[in-house]
Amino acid sequence: MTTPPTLHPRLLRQPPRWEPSGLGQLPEALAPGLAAQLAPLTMRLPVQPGLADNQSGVLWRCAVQIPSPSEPQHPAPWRAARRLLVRDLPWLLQQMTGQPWTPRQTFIEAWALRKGSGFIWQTGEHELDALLGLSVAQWPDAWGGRCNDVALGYDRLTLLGPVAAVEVSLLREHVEAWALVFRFRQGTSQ
Amino acid sequence: MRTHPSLHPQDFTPIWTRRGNVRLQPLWNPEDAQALRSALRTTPHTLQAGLPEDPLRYQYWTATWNRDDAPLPALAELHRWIEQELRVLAEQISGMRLLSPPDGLVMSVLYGRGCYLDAHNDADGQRAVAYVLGLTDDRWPAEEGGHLEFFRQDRVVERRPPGWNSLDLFHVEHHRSFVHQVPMVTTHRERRVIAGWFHRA
Repeated sequence: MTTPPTLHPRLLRQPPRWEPSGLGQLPEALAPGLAAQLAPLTMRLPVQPGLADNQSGVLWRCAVQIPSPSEPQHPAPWRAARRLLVRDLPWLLQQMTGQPWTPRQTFIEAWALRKGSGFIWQTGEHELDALLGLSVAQWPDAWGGRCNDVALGYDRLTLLGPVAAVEVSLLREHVEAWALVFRFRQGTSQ
Repeated sequence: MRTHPSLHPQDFTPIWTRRGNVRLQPLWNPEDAQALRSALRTTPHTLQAGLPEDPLRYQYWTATWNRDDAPLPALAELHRWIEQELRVLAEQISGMRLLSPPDGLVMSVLYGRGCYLDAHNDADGQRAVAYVLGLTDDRWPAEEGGHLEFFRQDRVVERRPPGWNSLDLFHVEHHRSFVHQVPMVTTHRERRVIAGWFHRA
């Protein structure tokens, strides 16, 4: 079973340049229609509250074990998410940075921001995170849940390069932001 | 653990009768409060948060224990003090005959940045009096959250800052219960309380 390309044709034709700041945002990142398929599946995932890896605050998350490409039991959007992790995002990142990237986890993380969530999102040396925003809800900036003052958004990729940190501001109201997070390290798979 | 010698329950009975809601301070001898806070700081707390579909939303850290499984002697002693001395103190102030809940649990609650407790009413048909033992040795403005707020008809009528070595007692039976909340702590603060209820005997 072949999974079609998962990135927007615009990104395939002309990958953007890497932001020297280490934080890049790419709106309309996925192939048309894919975000609409992934969002409802993501929002049903059993996220649990916990501390961020660096203990800087709370977020809700869970690991999404992705199926192998030959596993037809899983919904097609999850197969697309797998392709994003193992193929299309590494390709895009290499085009953008000039460096090879490989998944540093065998799973994708689902993140949800709920009232009380807020933390410092950071990456280590030779690490890069790609956060795919899947939230349709919108709210004022003052309510929080922003990543460097920008909403996680819908069908938007936020890229956090090596040794970078960005505040995900404290969410103060009962609204939700959802995202899938793909984590990479520099280098090729072994 | 010793109740502060200056604390005379009968002094608070008129306030309780009038308002059904009272703060006492100081509660314990100062060294007991310090020792208790130190014990709580070394006790692991677990993050708790309500789900979107839950009737009450909250986020805070808790540690609970019973008389037989307290993680430290100081917390076993606190358990004894609550079931015996605090219960009697609450009886003297409220004029009610009270019992500890059947589960016998004592709950330590830590509010850090992002923690909150939405507005609610503790009444469940069995609880008569709620207690909040304050162990927060810090002060901050209400705008930073973490204060205990009481409502009347959807309006905040009292805002009580986190207390140190303090006891808040309030009525939680249906006919006199207080809707209350703890707004989100928005800065790096540490609000520590021991919270629980007594039932009517």
